[in-house]
Amino acid sequence: MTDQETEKTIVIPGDALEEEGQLRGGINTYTENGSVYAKVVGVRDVKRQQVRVIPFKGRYVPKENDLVIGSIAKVSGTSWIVELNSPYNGLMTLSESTEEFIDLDEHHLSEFYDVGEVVLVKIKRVTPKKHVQLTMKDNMARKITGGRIIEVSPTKVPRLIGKDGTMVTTVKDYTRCTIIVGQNGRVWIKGTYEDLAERAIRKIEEEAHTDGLTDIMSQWLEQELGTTETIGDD
Amino acid sequence: MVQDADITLIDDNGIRFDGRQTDEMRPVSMEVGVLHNADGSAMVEIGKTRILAAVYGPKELHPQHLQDQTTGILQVRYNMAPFSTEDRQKPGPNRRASEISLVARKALEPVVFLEEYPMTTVKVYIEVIEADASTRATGITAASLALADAGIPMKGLITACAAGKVGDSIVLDVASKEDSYGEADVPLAMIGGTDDITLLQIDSSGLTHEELDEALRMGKKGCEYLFEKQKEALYRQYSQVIT
Amino acid sequence: MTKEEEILQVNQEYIRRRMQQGERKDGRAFDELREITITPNYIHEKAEGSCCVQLGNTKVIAGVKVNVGTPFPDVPDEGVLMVSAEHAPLAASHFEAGPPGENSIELARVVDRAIRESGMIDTGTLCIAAGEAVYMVGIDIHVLDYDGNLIDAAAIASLVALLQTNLPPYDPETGALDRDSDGDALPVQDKALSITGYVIDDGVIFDPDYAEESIADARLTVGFKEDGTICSVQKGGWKPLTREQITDIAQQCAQLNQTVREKIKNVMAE
Repeated sequence: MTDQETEKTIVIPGDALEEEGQLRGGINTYTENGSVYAKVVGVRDVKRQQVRVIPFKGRYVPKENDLVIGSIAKVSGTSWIVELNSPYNGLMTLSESTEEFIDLDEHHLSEFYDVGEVVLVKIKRVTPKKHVQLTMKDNMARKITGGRIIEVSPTKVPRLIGKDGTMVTTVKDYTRCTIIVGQNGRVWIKGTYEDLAERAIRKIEEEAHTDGLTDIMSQWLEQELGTTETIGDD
Repeated sequence: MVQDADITLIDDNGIRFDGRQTDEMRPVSMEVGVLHNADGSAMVEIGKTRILAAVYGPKELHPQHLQDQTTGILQVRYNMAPFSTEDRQKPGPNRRASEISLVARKALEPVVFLEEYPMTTVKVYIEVIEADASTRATGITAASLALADAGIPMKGLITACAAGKVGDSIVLDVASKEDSYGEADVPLAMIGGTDDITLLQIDSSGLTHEELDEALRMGKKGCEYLFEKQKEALYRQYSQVIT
Repeated sequence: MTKEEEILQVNQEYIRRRMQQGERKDGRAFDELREITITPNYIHEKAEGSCCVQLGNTKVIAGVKVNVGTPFPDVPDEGVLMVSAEHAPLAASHFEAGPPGENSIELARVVDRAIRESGMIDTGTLCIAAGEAVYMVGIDIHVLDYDGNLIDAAAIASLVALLQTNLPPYDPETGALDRDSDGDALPVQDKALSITGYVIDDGVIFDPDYAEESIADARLTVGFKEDGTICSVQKGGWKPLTREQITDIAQQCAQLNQTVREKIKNVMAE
């Protein structure tokens, strides 16, 4: 193990993350007898006297205010159960689905969102017992139709979005696609060069731990677009 | 000289039937991330024993009455493929497989931070592809790698191997002939890098207290060796990712 | 088996839309197989014959166990051939442990039918002593990773495993098989192989992945003998097929049957 911040150190569960007692344990670590250890396989990362592990893999666990892409699993009289690519489903009640008044004598909820339909939805609240409450009351929230959805490891989502959204914006601009990245690892792509966008996202996922990836991606997209435009796509 | 069924299990110089020293393991190989669908997977081979482990989860737990609001649970299934043994294994659970599933779960549970995933299950499948003794120990070693590969939070890895007694000698990593005709089989599992034993079973025709202590010592040595192999397999798999 | 993992509706529509444009989601031609890896003798010692087939992300092992048993009274001079299949729960998140479900049974029977009807194994040659001892040859298909088209993967694995199989010599004194001796190769009269076409809307595709297979309306598995004649057929799925569709799919299956046989030949020659 090395303390040089520039070098990426892979750690596995049980690996000691620091020996001097200088650093506090952050996310994906545990502390025993004053020493900090890794809980998951990942890359050791130090920031402001805190050591944490950036995981390679792991399932998505709902967090408040996350935007996620879900699929309607069940419609009942007053609410929807939404599957979220997670161990926990979400619940959206009628009152969270719209600002408008809905007369339930006249309408059934499936008229708005039916089983199998896909929605971009916001997580409003997660109780300690992991009841997940969803809401459509967000500017971004909407039903998703057309295009395609690919799944990436939820642990790679921050990299895919990039700092202040720079990475995903780069891909959007070059591919002339709408791209929405759900925190649960589902990515919706719709637009002109969907195949290229998909390939770009797969490349970002694979090379998530490379430095300067945004620049690398710009060059790569530029190059690919040169060949794509003549051949055509979609 | 110990002889049974025309096999000399260990000679006067302490060399075993397959040419190994008493404290020598069979060749070991480990690989992580060998399956596509599973959230985590690993293949571990020790001699001719070959085990595949797969992990799914954490995922929603059914039936609901098993759900625990304070923690997730671990579900382990040990299974032998029909063609993995000399006599065909009839598919489906049997008493032996059920017990091994239970002790494997107990061996793994102490290191998994299941409380981080209330209401859920983490499913662990141990599939014996080819059996030449030590399948439960090797299965646990593989399962622990698959859990780590799935990104399940853990305190450390679990490593398991089997010590045994052949004639008057305590030996490491019993092979099938030694298991059948030897004096003791001592599978044990440990939390990697510690002295904590999370699984111990003994089948023996007679083991002295000194021999027990020696078997535990030998088993620990084996686990330490396998622990290094486990770490190597994980580092190898993931260093491909960052380079 | 729990409810099958559903492909997102958006992606189902995407696959169909793309097919209408004559394309598949991964860029393959409709009749293009995924990368195929055939590993004969995958089980080193415990099986008398075996093969692991990887078709894209689908991974299947066929293992052959040879045992000795007493023949059925009505056919005292014939051995026994049996095919079983298991969707091991490690292969997909919706597979569950338990007795073989109808999917496992269908898989085993479809593979079995092609082998049996082709006359590949003459059960008469499996007789050791009429009325007393015969070879019982069991093929176990074990699914390790499920990403569509299990039938074809299992058919390839079973064929190669049988071609690898040795019959351990029978020891009349002990009444058991001497598994430490090599024995003779299992006599094989033909080589049966099945190929499956999947119908989605108006298109026919081959070797689908899980997403494609899960939205298929119908499928047709055609088993071929080595001379190219048809020895078995199984129609699956909810949608009826017309005579034209069936003959067309059978023609395409015949083409791919040749392609796969070439690959098997190359692997066996190595």
